[in-house]
Amino acid sequence: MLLRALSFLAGLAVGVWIWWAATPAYNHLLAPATQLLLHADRRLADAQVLPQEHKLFVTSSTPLPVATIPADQLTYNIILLLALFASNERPWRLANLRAIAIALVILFASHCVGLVISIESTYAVRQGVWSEQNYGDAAASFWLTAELVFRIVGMFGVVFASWWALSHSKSVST
Amino acid sequence: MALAPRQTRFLIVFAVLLIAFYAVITIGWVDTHVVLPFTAALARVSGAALNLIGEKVHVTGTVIGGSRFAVDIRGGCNGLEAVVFVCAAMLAFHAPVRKRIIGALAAAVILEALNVIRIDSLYLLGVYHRNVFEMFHLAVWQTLMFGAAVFLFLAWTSIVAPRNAPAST
Repeated sequence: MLLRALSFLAGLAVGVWIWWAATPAYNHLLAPATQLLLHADRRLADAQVLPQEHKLFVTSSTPLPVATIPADQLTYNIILLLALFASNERPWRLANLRAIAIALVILFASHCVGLVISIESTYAVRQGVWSEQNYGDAAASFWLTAELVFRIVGMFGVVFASWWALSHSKSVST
Repeated sequence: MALAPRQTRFLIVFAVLLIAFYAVITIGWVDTHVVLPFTAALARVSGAALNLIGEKVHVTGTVIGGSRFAVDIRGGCNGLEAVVFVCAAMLAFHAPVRKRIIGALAAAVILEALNVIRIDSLYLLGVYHRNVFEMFHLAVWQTLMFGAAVFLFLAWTSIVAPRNAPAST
Protein backbone atom coordinates (compact mmCIF):
# COMPACT_ATOMS: atom_id res chain seq x y z
CA MET A 1 0.00 0.00 0.00
CA LEU A 2 2.93 2.35 0.74
CA LEU A 3 4.41 1.81 -2.72
CA ARG A 4 1.00 2.42 -4.18
CA ALA A 5 0.66 5.67 -2.22
CA LEU A 6 4.08 6.81 -3.45
CA SER A 7 3.10 6.01 -7.04
CA PHE A 8 -0.08 7.98 -6.46
CA LEU A 9 1.92 11.01 -5.27
CA ALA A 10 4.25 10.74 -8.28
CA GLY A 11 1.21 10.58 -10.56
CA LEU A 12 -0.25 13.58 -8.75
CA ALA A 13 2.92 15.62 -9.33
CA VAL A 14 2.95 14.72 -13.03
CA GLY A 15 -0.78 15.39 -13.20
CA VAL A 16 -0.46 18.88 -11.72
CA TRP A 17 2.27 19.71 -14.23
CA ILE A 18 0.32 18.33 -17.21
CA TRP A 19 -2.90 20.03 -16.11
CA TRP A 20 -1.23 23.42 -15.67
CA ALA A 21 0.91 23.24 -18.82
CA ALA A 22 -1.63 21.64 -21.15
CA THR A 23 -4.77 23.56 -20.14
CA PRO A 24 -4.39 26.34 -22.76
CA ALA A 25 -3.98 23.79 -25.59
CA TYR A 26 -6.68 21.55 -24.13
CA ASN A 27 -9.10 24.49 -24.06
CA HIS A 28 -8.71 24.73 -27.85
CA LEU A 29 -10.13 21.19 -28.05
CA LEU A 30 -12.85 21.80 -25.47
CA ALA A 31 -14.17 25.07 -26.92
CA PRO A 32 -15.58 23.81 -30.27
CA ALA A 33 -17.03 20.62 -28.74
CA THR A 34 -18.68 22.60 -25.95
CA GLN A 35 -19.99 25.18 -28.41
CA LEU A 36 -21.62 22.41 -30.43
CA LEU A 37 -23.44 21.11 -27.35
CA LEU A 38 -24.34 24.61 -26.21
CA HIS A 39 -26.17 25.34 -29.45
CA ALA A 40 -28.80 22.74 -28.49
CA ASP A 41 -30.19 25.47 -26.20
CA ARG A 42 -31.86 28.05 -28.45
CA ARG A 43 -31.12 30.83 -25.92
CA LEU A 44 -27.45 30.21 -26.57
CA ALA A 45 -27.73 29.14 -30.21
CA ASP A 46 -25.49 31.99 -31.41
CA ALA A 47 -22.94 31.72 -28.65
CA GLN A 48 -19.30 31.44 -29.57
CA VAL A 49 -16.95 29.73 -27.14
CA LEU A 50 -13.41 31.05 -27.41
CA PRO A 51 -10.38 29.71 -25.52
CA GLN A 52 -7.93 32.10 -23.92
CA GLU A 53 -5.18 30.65 -21.75
CA HIS A 54 -6.81 28.94 -18.75
CA LYS A 55 -10.27 30.38 -19.38
CA LEU A 56 -13.04 30.21 -21.93
CA PHE A 57 -14.96 33.26 -23.14
CA VAL A 58 -18.52 33.08 -24.37
CA THR A 59 -19.40 35.80 -26.86
CA SER A 60 -21.96 36.35 -29.59
CA SER A 61 -22.94 38.74 -32.36
CA THR A 62 -26.39 38.90 -30.71
CA PRO A 63 -27.22 40.81 -27.46
CA LEU A 64 -26.06 37.77 -25.46
CA PRO A 65 -23.85 39.07 -22.63
CA VAL A 66 -20.20 38.07 -22.55
CA ALA A 67 -19.26 35.45 -19.97
CA THR A 68 -15.93 34.23 -18.65
CA ILE A 69 -15.68 30.60 -17.61
CA PRO A 70 -12.70 29.43 -15.54
CA ALA A 71 -12.32 26.20 -17.52
CA ASP A 72 -9.28 25.05 -15.55
CA GLN A 73 -11.47 24.74 -12.44
CA LEU A 74 -13.59 22.18 -14.27
CA THR A 75 -10.77 20.09 -15.69
CA TYR A 76 -8.33 19.62 -12.81
CA ASN A 77 -9.85 16.24 -12.02
CA ILE A 78 -7.43 14.91 -14.65
CA ILE A 79 -4.82 15.13 -11.86
CA LEU A 80 -6.73 12.58 -9.77
CA LEU A 81 -7.25 10.37 -12.81
CA LEU A 82 -3.53 10.24 -13.62
CA ALA A 83 -2.62 9.74 -9.96
CA LEU A 84 -5.05 6.82 -9.61
CA PHE A 85 -3.83 5.09 -12.77
CA ALA A 86 -0.23 5.70 -11.67
CA SER A 87 -1.04 3.86 -8.44
CA ASN A 88 -2.10 0.74 -10.34
CA GLU A 89 0.19 -2.26 -10.37
CA ARG A 90 2.79 -1.95 -13.18
CA PRO A 91 1.36 1.34 -14.51
CA TRP A 92 3.41 1.25 -17.73
CA ARG A 93 1.89 -2.01 -18.98
CA LEU A 94 -0.07 -1.73 -22.20
CA ALA A 95 -3.43 -2.60 -20.65
CA ASN A 96 -3.10 0.21 -18.11
CA LEU A 97 -2.06 2.71 -20.78
CA ARG A 98 -5.04 1.65 -22.91
CA ALA A 99 -7.31 2.10 -19.89
CA ILE A 100 -5.89 5.62 -19.35
CA ALA A 101 -6.61 6.46 -22.99
CA ILE A 102 -10.23 5.30 -22.67
CA ALA A 103 -10.59 7.16 -19.36
CA LEU A 104 -9.27 10.35 -20.98
CA VAL A 105 -11.93 10.11 -23.68
CA ILE A 106 -14.61 9.69 -20.98
CA LEU A 107 -13.10 12.62 -19.10
CA PHE A 108 -13.12 14.80 -22.21
CA ALA A 109 -16.84 14.08 -22.70
CA SER A 110 -17.51 14.87 -19.03
CA HIS A 111 -15.54 18.12 -19.33
CA CYS A 112 -17.70 19.20 -22.28
CA VAL A 113 -20.86 18.42 -20.30
CA GLY A 114 -19.43 20.15 -17.22
CA LEU A 115 -18.62 23.25 -19.23
CA VAL A 116 -22.10 23.35 -20.75
CA ILE A 117 -23.56 23.11 -17.22
CA SER A 118 -21.23 25.86 -16.00
CA ILE A 119 -22.06 28.14 -18.95
CA GLU A 120 -25.80 27.53 -18.56
CA SER A 121 -25.50 28.22 -14.82
CA THR A 122 -23.57 31.44 -15.51
CA TYR A 123 -26.25 32.68 -17.91
CA ALA A 124 -29.09 31.48 -15.70
CA VAL A 125 -28.05 33.19 -12.46
CA ARG A 126 -25.12 35.60 -12.98
CA GLN A 127 -26.17 37.84 -15.86
CA GLY A 128 -28.60 40.12 -14.03
CA VAL A 129 -31.61 41.23 -16.04
CA TRP A 130 -30.69 39.01 -18.99
CA SER A 131 -30.85 35.97 -16.71
CA GLU A 132 -34.25 36.98 -15.33
CA GLN A 133 -35.63 37.54 -18.82
CA ASN A 134 -34.42 34.26 -20.25
CA TYR A 135 -34.48 31.75 -17.39
CA GLY A 136 -37.30 30.95 -14.99
CA ASP A 137 -36.69 30.29 -11.30
CA ALA A 138 -36.88 26.52 -11.75
CA ALA A 139 -34.43 26.53 -14.65
CA ALA A 140 -32.02 28.78 -12.75
CA SER A 141 -32.17 26.51 -9.68
CA PHE A 142 -31.67 23.44 -11.86
CA TRP A 143 -28.53 24.76 -13.57
CA LEU A 144 -27.06 26.12 -10.35
CA THR A 145 -27.64 22.80 -8.57
CA ALA A 146 -26.23 20.86 -11.52
CA GLU A 147 -23.12 23.03 -11.46
CA LEU A 148 -22.60 22.53 -7.73
CA VAL A 149 -23.10 18.77 -7.99
CA PHE A 150 -20.65 18.55 -10.88
CA ARG A 151 -17.99 20.73 -9.26
CA ILE A 152 -18.15 19.32 -5.74
CA VAL A 153 -18.65 15.59 -6.24
CA GLY A 154 -19.53 14.83 -9.88
CA MET A 155 -16.17 15.54 -11.44
CA PHE A 156 -14.43 13.27 -8.94
CA GLY A 157 -17.19 10.67 -9.15
CA VAL A 158 -16.59 10.40 -12.92
CA VAL A 159 -12.86 9.93 -12.34
CA PHE A 160 -13.33 7.29 -9.65
CA ALA A 161 -15.95 5.38 -11.65
CA SER A 162 -13.78 5.45 -14.80
CA TRP A 163 -10.70 4.31 -12.92
CA TRP A 164 -12.57 1.63 -11.00
CA ALA A 165 -14.36 0.26 -14.07
CA LEU A 166 -11.29 0.32 -16.31
CA SER A 167 -8.87 -0.98 -13.69
CA HIS A 168 -11.13 -3.84 -12.70
CA SER A 169 -12.48 -4.81 -16.11
CA LYS A 170 -11.45 -8.18 -17.49
CA SER A 171 -9.47 -6.69 -20.39
CA VAL A 172 -7.21 -4.75 -18.04
CA SER A 173 -6.84 -7.20 -15.18
CA THR A 174 -5.87 -10.14 -17.38
CA MET B 1 -13.84 -4.07 -21.18
CA ALA B 2 -16.35 -6.14 -19.22
CA LEU B 3 -17.46 -5.65 -15.65
CA ALA B 4 -18.91 -8.35 -13.44
CA PRO B 5 -22.58 -7.72 -12.49
CA ARG B 6 -21.54 -7.04 -8.89
CA GLN B 7 -19.07 -4.38 -10.01
CA THR B 8 -21.69 -2.75 -12.23
CA ARG B 9 -24.12 -2.80 -9.30
CA PHE B 10 -21.45 -1.23 -7.09
CA LEU B 11 -20.92 1.65 -9.52
CA ILE B 12 -24.65 2.30 -9.89
CA VAL B 13 -25.32 2.22 -6.13
CA PHE B 14 -22.22 4.37 -5.56
CA ALA B 15 -23.48 7.03 -8.01
CA VAL B 16 -26.99 7.03 -6.50
CA LEU B 17 -25.67 7.28 -2.92
CA LEU B 18 -23.17 9.99 -3.88
CA ILE B 19 -25.90 12.20 -5.31
CA ALA B 20 -28.31 11.36 -2.45
CA PHE B 21 -25.76 12.18 0.28
CA TYR B 22 -24.74 15.36 -1.49
CA ALA B 23 -28.41 16.35 -1.79
CA VAL B 24 -28.83 15.85 1.96
CA ILE B 25 -25.92 18.14 2.94
CA THR B 26 -27.22 20.89 0.65
CA ILE B 27 -30.69 21.01 2.25
CA GLY B 28 -31.08 24.43 3.85
CA TRP B 29 -31.92 23.11 7.32
CA VAL B 30 -29.02 20.63 7.29
CA ASP B 31 -26.68 23.35 6.09
CA THR B 32 -27.73 25.75 8.86
CA HIS B 33 -27.94 23.28 11.73
CA VAL B 34 -25.26 20.72 10.84
CA VAL B 35 -22.82 21.82 8.13
CA LEU B 36 -22.22 25.39 9.32
CA PRO B 37 -21.69 24.49 13.02
CA PHE B 38 -19.45 21.61 11.93
CA THR B 39 -17.43 23.95 9.69
CA ALA B 40 -17.12 26.48 12.53
CA ALA B 41 -15.87 23.70 14.84
CA LEU B 42 -13.38 22.67 12.15
CA ALA B 43 -12.19 26.29 11.98
CA ARG B 44 -11.69 26.35 15.76
CA VAL B 45 -9.66 23.12 15.70
CA SER B 46 -7.57 24.35 12.75
CA GLY B 47 -7.06 27.72 14.45
CA ALA B 48 -5.97 26.02 17.67
CA ALA B 49 -3.45 23.93 15.73
CA LEU B 50 -2.07 27.07 14.08
CA ASN B 51 -1.74 28.80 17.46
CA LEU B 52 0.08 25.73 18.75
CA ILE B 53 2.79 26.12 16.10
CA GLY B 54 3.20 29.79 16.85
CA GLU B 55 0.93 31.48 14.32
CA LYS B 56 -1.13 34.12 16.06
CA VAL B 57 -4.61 33.62 14.63
CA HIS B 58 -8.15 34.23 15.81
CA VAL B 59 -11.25 32.39 14.69
CA THR B 60 -14.57 34.06 14.00
CA GLY B 61 -17.24 31.68 12.77
CA THR B 62 -15.69 29.93 9.80
CA VAL B 63 -12.92 32.51 9.31
CA ILE B 64 -9.36 31.98 10.51
CA GLY B 65 -7.54 35.30 10.50
CA GLY B 66 -4.07 36.53 11.32
CA SER B 67 -2.30 39.83 10.85
CA ARG B 68 -1.31 39.04 7.24
CA PHE B 69 -3.87 36.59 5.87
CA ALA B 70 -7.29 35.07 6.49
CA VAL B 71 -9.09 32.01 5.19
CA ASP B 72 -12.84 31.48 5.16
CA ILE B 73 -13.78 27.80 5.23
CA ARG B 74 -16.75 27.38 2.95
CA GLY B 75 -18.72 24.53 1.46
CA GLY B 76 -16.33 22.39 -0.56
CA CYS B 77 -13.47 23.16 1.85
CA ASN B 78 -14.84 21.48 4.98
CA GLY B 79 -13.95 17.99 3.78
CA LEU B 80 -17.56 16.85 3.71
CA GLU B 81 -17.44 16.25 -0.04
CA ALA B 82 -14.66 13.67 0.41
CA VAL B 83 -16.46 12.16 3.41
CA VAL B 84 -19.66 11.86 1.37
CA PHE B 85 -17.61 10.29 -1.44
CA VAL B 86 -15.99 7.59 0.71
CA CYS B 87 -19.22 6.87 2.59
CA ALA B 88 -21.04 6.34 -0.72
CA ALA B 89 -18.27 3.98 -1.91
CA MET B 90 -18.15 1.96 1.33
CA LEU B 91 -21.90 1.69 1.75
CA ALA B 92 -22.25 0.59 -1.89
CA PHE B 93 -19.65 -2.15 -1.46
CA HIS B 94 -20.79 -5.71 -0.84
CA ALA B 95 -19.78 -6.24 2.82
CA PRO B 96 -21.49 -6.77 6.20
CA VAL B 97 -23.49 -3.66 7.17
CA ARG B 98 -21.64 -3.28 10.49
CA LYS B 99 -18.28 -3.21 8.73
CA ARG B 100 -19.57 -0.68 6.22
CA ILE B 101 -20.74 1.67 8.98
CA ILE B 102 -17.54 1.32 11.03
CA GLY B 103 -15.45 1.82 7.88
CA ALA B 104 -17.39 4.93 6.86
CA LEU B 105 -17.11 6.45 10.36
CA ALA B 106 -13.38 5.74 10.59
CA ALA B 107 -12.78 7.14 7.11
CA ALA B 108 -14.75 10.28 7.98
CA VAL B 109 -12.58 10.90 11.08
CA ILE B 110 -9.32 10.34 9.16
CA LEU B 111 -10.42 12.58 6.28
CA GLU B 112 -11.43 15.40 8.61
CA ALA B 113 -8.08 15.11 10.42
CA LEU B 114 -6.41 15.40 7.02
CA ASN B 115 -8.65 18.36 6.29
CA VAL B 116 -7.32 20.19 9.35
CA ILE B 117 -3.84 19.75 7.87
CA ARG B 118 -5.17 21.04 4.54
CA ILE B 119 -6.69 24.15 6.12
CA ASP B 120 -3.59 24.92 8.17
CA SER B 121 -1.22 24.33 5.27
CA LEU B 122 -3.34 26.59 3.06
CA TYR B 123 -3.28 29.29 5.70
CA LEU B 124 0.51 29.00 5.92
CA LEU B 125 0.81 29.08 2.12
CA GLY B 126 -1.36 32.18 2.11
CA VAL B 127 0.96 33.85 4.61
CA TYR B 128 4.33 32.74 3.26
CA HIS B 129 3.88 31.58 -0.38
CA ARG B 130 0.78 33.27 -1.70
CA ASN B 131 1.83 32.77 -5.34
CA VAL B 132 1.11 29.03 -5.10
CA PHE B 133 -1.90 29.29 -2.76
CA GLU B 134 -4.51 29.06 -5.50
CA MET B 135 -2.93 26.03 -7.16
CA PHE B 136 -2.73 24.16 -3.86
CA HIS B 137 -6.21 25.28 -2.83
CA LEU B 138 -7.86 24.29 -6.08
CA ALA B 139 -5.90 21.39 -7.50
CA VAL B 140 -3.39 19.81 -5.15
CA TRP B 141 -5.38 19.55 -1.93
CA GLN B 142 -8.68 18.68 -3.61
CA THR B 143 -6.91 15.84 -5.42
CA LEU B 144 -5.15 14.73 -2.23
CA MET B 145 -8.43 14.68 -0.31
CA PHE B 146 -10.22 12.59 -2.91
CA GLY B 147 -7.10 10.47 -3.41
CA ALA B 148 -7.05 9.82 0.34
CA ALA B 149 -10.73 8.90 0.17
CA VAL B 150 -10.01 6.38 -2.59
CA PHE B 151 -7.04 4.93 -0.67
CA LEU B 152 -9.09 4.59 2.50
CA PHE B 153 -11.71 2.78 0.47
CA LEU B 154 -9.10 0.45 -1.04
CA ALA B 155 -7.51 -0.22 2.36
CA TRP B 156 -10.92 -0.96 3.82
CA THR B 157 -11.85 -3.32 0.97
CA SER B 158 -8.60 -5.21 1.51
CA ILE B 159 -9.73 -5.76 5.13
CA VAL B 160 -13.37 -6.67 4.53
CA ALA B 161 -12.70 -8.66 1.35
CA PRO B 162 -9.02 -9.62 1.64
CA ARG B 163 -8.87 -12.45 -0.90
CA ASN B 164 -9.93 -10.62 -4.02
CA ALA B 165 -11.25 -7.19 -3.24
CA PRO B 166 -12.07 -5.98 -6.77
CA ALA B 167 -13.94 -9.17 -7.66
CA SER B 168 -15.97 -8.99 -4.47
CA THR B 169 -17.79 -5.79 -5.32
